[in-house]
Amino acid sequence: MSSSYVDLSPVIRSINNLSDNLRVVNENVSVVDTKVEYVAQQQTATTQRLDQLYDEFTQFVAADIKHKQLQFAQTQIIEVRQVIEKEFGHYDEVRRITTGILQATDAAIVRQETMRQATEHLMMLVPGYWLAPAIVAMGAWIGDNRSLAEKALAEAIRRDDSKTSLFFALICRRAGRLEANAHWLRRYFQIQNPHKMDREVVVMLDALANGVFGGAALNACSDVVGQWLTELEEQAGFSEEQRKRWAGALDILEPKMRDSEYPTLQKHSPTWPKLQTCLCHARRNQVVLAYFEQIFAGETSIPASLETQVDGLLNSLVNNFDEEELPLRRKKRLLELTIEELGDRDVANRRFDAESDSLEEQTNFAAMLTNAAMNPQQFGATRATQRYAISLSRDWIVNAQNDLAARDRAEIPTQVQLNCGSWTGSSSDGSNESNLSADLNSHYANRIGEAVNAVNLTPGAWIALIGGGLLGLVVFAGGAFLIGLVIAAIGGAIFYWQYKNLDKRRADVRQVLEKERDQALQILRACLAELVDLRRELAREDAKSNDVTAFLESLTSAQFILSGAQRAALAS
Amino acid sequence: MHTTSREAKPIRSVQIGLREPQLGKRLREKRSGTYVETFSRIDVAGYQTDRDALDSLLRTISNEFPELSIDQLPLGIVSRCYLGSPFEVHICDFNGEIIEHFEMHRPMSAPFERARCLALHPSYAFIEVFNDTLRAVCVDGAVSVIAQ
Repeated sequence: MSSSYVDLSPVIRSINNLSDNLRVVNENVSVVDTKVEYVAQQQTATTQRLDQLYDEFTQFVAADIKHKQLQFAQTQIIEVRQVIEKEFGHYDEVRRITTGILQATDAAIVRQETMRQATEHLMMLVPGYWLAPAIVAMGAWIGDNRSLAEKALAEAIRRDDSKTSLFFALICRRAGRLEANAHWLRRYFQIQNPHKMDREVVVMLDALANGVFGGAALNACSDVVGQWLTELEEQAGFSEEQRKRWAGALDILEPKMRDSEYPTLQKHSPTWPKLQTCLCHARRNQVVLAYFEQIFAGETSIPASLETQVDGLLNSLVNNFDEEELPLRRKKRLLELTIEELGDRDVANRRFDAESDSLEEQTNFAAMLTNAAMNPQQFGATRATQRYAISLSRDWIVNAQNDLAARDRAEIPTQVQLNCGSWTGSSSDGSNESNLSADLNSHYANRIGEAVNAVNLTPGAWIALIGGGLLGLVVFAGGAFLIGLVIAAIGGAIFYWQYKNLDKRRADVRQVLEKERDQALQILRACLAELVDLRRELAREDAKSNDVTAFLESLTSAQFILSGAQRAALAS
Repeated sequence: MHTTSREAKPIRSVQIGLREPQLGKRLREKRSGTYVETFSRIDVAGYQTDRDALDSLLRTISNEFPELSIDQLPLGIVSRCYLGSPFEVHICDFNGEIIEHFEMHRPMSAPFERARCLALHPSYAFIEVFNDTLRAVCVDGAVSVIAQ
């Protein structure tokens, strides 16, 4: 019998090639796997950079708009001042003459004829202006020209009865004519409608609070102020309107927060915007308290002589309260606020809305008190008047403060959401760190388990094992024992090499997720620490609301009206 | 859940009520000492178990606002619960004439849930819940108003 020989070298070569190719494929798959992971990381980094770029661009646009608004306001305000000067500058000459005549009369160094000519010239300089005939009347009175004084006075009253009456009340007080002073004040009060008053009423309040009026005039003023407030409070909805007005005036004092505060909560808590709002609300209490305390701190400066004090009030009356100028003054004020807020038009508009009442032609007496208290510079009120106005408004301010505090407290979130890595949780006050850490660890343990279990042998490895084994078996059964074994061994080796690599891949996956878990734990601890601090600060600032109401409730309006004797004592 | 309710029984006569702004002014007025004390001690006074005492509670509300119509009265009152953990707040619901205690993470129905945070604040004895406002009542009876 002859032996048969089967040349299996091509088969062996093919199997070797197959084995080599499988190894190459496997290596390529690993390379691709690495590259895919790299691309994914790059994509994440690119997305982060794009988000960052978008944020920076948005901030740039906002800053550019603010800068342009600031430049516009700085240019416009110059133009508005020039218009005011052009249209109303000639009023200044009239206004200066008022106290000039009084002081010249005091010094008795100007001839009557000179004063007469100067005052009559004013009638031609500023037609229609109430102050011109009032000064003519004053000059005629000083010169003992009764008929001229009466004619000029009638004209001044025709042009503006309210201002003329208050003007002569002050002139008479300055001259020590107390009966005439009381008469003019009675006339002034009769003209007034507490629901719709002209702004110059603050001059009367100034005189009252600074002790210019004494005796019967002081009592008359105090009584009429009380009557006005009683009449207003009887009007339906008035008290509520006053509370809302004061709430708006206090709310505008809310401070801004720095970007660097509570950085971890800013970045990792979806509840952060609410927390930020609540903290700013609470910090407002200290600002409000400081605002009122500084108004009532220290002595008010009283001029040495009554004449000087009345001259100051007369200057205020003639300079600050002419309605024709108000539209331009409103425009000027908005531009000033825009410049103060460095071009932030939204904040400037909010501040302007809060004080816009002080530049209205007419408003009710209680609103005048609010304006005198919160916007004294716009309203032409002195420190003494500010104190008096606040004390008269005390109950409304206390109610407004309490309403704001309640509103703020209702908005405080009870639970704060936290995002740390892929874990989310919540805490009320940061005291449950152990529970949250355990939950986070459990979450990542599950994730790690799932990710590790997802790392398995590739199909190629199984093909190598099963295919190589079967082929080896076939060859072995065909008589080529050694070759069959070699084939099977090669298949097994490929499988084993893959299997060994499996552990490394699983370890890599575990390492990445464990690193993420450790970072998430650090973030969680930082968030909770900041939350503890934030809750403490919130409670501390919130409690200051009681300090505000306690301070206000200690004020009584009577303590802020100076009698003549008190005024004299302070001035000496 | 911990509740107490009663059989429907009228405890106040029909009132015409007030119009705005008199209504707002009336609801701003300080609450009486009896009223504040009654609602500050719901947990200890046995209202949750004694149904006649629940009637007395509802009469207290009626006496506090005799001139108001039923639809002008509060929907209910929310205050801190002193029964201890897990209870945090309770509602005295005037419409359903029921007192219900709520655990920490169990939300209340819509108009009442916003009052939870306020009810837990130490400055307030309890919170009256209306359709359009919350009114936070202090221990001295002073009332602060929050728009809903």
